[in-house]
Amino acid sequence: MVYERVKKLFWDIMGIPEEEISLESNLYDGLCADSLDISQIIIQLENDYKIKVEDDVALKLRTVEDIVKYVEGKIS
Amino acid sequence: MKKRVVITGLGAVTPIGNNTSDFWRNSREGVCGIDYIKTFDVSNSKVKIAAELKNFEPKDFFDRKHVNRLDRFSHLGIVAAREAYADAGLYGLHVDKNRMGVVIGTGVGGIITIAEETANLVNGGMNMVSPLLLPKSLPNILAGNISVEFNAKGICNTVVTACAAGTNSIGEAFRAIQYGDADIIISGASEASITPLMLAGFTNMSALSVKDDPCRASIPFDKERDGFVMGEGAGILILEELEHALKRNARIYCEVAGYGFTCDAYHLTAPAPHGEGGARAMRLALDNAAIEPEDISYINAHGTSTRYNDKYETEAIKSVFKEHAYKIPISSTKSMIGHLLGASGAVEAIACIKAIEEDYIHGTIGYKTEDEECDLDYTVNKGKKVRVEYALSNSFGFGGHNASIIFKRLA
Repeated sequence: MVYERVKKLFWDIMGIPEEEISLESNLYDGLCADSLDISQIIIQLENDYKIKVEDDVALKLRTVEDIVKYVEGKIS
Repeated sequence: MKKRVVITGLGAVTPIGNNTSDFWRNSREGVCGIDYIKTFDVSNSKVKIAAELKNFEPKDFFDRKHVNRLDRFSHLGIVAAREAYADAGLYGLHVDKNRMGVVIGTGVGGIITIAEETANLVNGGMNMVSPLLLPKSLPNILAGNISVEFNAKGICNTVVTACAAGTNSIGEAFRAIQYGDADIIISGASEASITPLMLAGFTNMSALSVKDDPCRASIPFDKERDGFVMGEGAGILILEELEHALKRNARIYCEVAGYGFTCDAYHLTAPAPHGEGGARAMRLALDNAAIEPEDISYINAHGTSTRYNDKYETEAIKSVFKEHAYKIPISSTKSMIGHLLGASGAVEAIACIKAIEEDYIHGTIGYKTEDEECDLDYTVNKGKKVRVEYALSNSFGFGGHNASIIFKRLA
């Protein structure tokens, strides 16, 4: 569920088709995101799931799976 | 010794054409670009008209990421800059990017984004404000975006002088090249501010025409004028040092001959009586070009269609040009495209440059009723063939800013 939402956000914000995204995708080297892209994705997830992502955590996220696991951990 | 500066590329996005050739062809034909506002509900607004772009879709020019990431004023400015860059033959050409600069004007920058994010803040709280608020809306961000687009690593500046910004930006770029700070400068201005917020602000200060007929609303120098009409768009020019342009066999439109700017120091929004600040800007530009008033063959007026601008601009022209004022054809581009605010001077500069290139002055359309206080030759309703050696463009802005620039046929 979270994974589907994250893929949708990459499409909405960066225009990356869902089929080009996998759990292993590297946010920076693979998907070519920059800090502004990641900031938009995180704030959307915060609002969607009513969670707070700490800044030091955000800086450590490297893959799509890191994002998904972090959000799932927060809402479980 | 100061270097000479020429124009080698033009780009425009306007309510009567989304590129320079469409803009100029429709200017020559006297097309009215003003219509009822279509992008938001104006049923409760006293003013229901504006000069919006036609068939301009950001997705035709940008990928999804940059459709979202850029404010409309950046979209318009970058599209105009790409046209100018291509027109100047710069794509694929080896030039020293450390000597390529960017000087861009705007009145209010990314006001659409500011309005949207303010609504998000009020309706949803602080966490609903996009991280893109600042990178989209800062007035200087278009200059930054253009520098990234073309890898222009030289001087980079933004001029924010309200409705004089377009002329000021070109003038500042001119000076920078004259003084050897750059070989090429991408310069001009962009404005995209037709939003409920801006419309309400201008309406409530009684700056806008409240006429209901779109093509009888922006009627510069007409006795029945009652205010300006908001417009949106961008004009970008490639300014280049003459020897640099000659060395690469660039097509040269004309030379930038002179620039002058002053401040009224009188009132935040009303022009100084008799247009004395505007007159001083024109005199400074003439002195800077080292020419006599009689040398000017065409004036592209600020000509906003407000009662005081047009009356005082007429007085200012008379005070500078004396009897010759009656012999100079004048026209107002705003009669067709409304008031592009910060971008107006940039698009009007293009009208001057095309006038020199084609020896043709576009008309001031929609004109019907003579005003004894505005009794110069405003090229009413129809354009005309005129040999244009020197064209002068005026732009005046809230804050009392007055800027005049002179373009010259290259001898």
